[in-house]
Amino acid sequence: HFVWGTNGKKGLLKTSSELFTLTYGALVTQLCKDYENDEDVNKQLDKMGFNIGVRLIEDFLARSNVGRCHDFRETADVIAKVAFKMYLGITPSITNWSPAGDEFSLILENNPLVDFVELPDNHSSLIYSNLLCGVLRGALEMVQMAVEAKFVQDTLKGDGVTEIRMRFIRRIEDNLPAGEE
Amino acid sequence: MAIFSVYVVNKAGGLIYQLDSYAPRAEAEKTFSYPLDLLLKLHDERVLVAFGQRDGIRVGHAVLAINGMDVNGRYTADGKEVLEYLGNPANYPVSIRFGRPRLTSNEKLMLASMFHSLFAIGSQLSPEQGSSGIEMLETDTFKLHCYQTLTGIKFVVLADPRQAGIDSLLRKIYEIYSDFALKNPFYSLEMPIRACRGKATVGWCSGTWTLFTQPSWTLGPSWCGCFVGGRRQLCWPHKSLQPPRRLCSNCSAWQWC
Repeated sequence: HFVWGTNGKKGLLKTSSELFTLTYGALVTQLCKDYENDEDVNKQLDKMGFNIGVRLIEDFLARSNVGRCHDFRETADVIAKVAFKMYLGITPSITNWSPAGDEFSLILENNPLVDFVELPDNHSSLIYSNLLCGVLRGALEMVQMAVEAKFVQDTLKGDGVTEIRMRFIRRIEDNLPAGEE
Repeated sequence: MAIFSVYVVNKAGGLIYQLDSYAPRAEAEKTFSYPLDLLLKLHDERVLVAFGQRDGIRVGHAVLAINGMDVNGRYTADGKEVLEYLGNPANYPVSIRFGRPRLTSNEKLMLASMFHSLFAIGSQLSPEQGSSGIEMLETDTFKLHCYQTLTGIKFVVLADPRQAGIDSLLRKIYEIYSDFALKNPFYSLEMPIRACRGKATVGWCSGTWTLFTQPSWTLGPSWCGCFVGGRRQLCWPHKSLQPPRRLCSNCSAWQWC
């Protein structure tokens, strides 16, 4: 089946999501072979995601033309409705806001990264889609927001939905672009 | 060409990309006999005309070449000092090319970081909070347009004062940056962007800004970056035409390199 994605050209281009899923799977299995320890693999995925995020944010800003978000709720909306839609073709829902408005959950009904994937028993603490957490963290850091993203529910581990918990840590004050104080 | 230059400045104020795309400025090459009726002086490692204007040679023009060979700052191609060479009657008649001195890369770097500082000052001077910073700087010979992204990168374009549509050009350049620079995994953020193989120029073609790239001066096809219709168009450089031109297959117009 196909998923819509941007491909560096004006407009959208269909790409096969199978190749994407297979590539991601090959990446994770190779990391598992290289590191032999689930915690290290999780860290590597987060790091790789971070590097993707710091680049992806520019592509996102260039193509989507969204302006600066003024609070965390706006950020959540943009992430779920614009960014996830643009890159993965899914629209997660936003729930479970904390009373202070600094934490929320993204509920993903289906996760294109985990099509056809089944976690074996010896990798029970592997966070398969941890790349996404790194991407979110990296992208938001480039727009001066330090956040923490982690998976609290995962369909691969038997839960009904995939849930990513995002927490706002602080605004990054050093190296602010001019005019943003 | 309506677009004179493009500068991309990173978060810290360092110039990471620069492109000049204007036609060579008015240069004058004349043969002189001794004594030289122009007064030359040494300034900033270049030999400039201090006094004596004639035939397209203006005060402030620099000596670019002597007898067809490009000078190297204040020294000729052979390593002799230009002023000494021109002071010796035995070297005449001599053909000298004058022209407006080009900015060196170091000077461009300095100007970019100075602009970055001015931009910051501009935002601070703003009576309201959250100023966009300098968006345009206007002079009689050019207009400078600037767009700062949310991540702090500045795209600066110098264009003809009458040229319209620069805002969409700045957005297009942002898109091109996010593609060509960021999607290259070997490119490190905030570092200078290596120019794509061969020359790239930006131009207006059929109602949209396009990036013309050309690997090198070959007879084969090259890719004209026309984005109209969502597809890049093939473009054939014609070897026999001088200066080199490219045919934009999107609009079938000959575009100058």
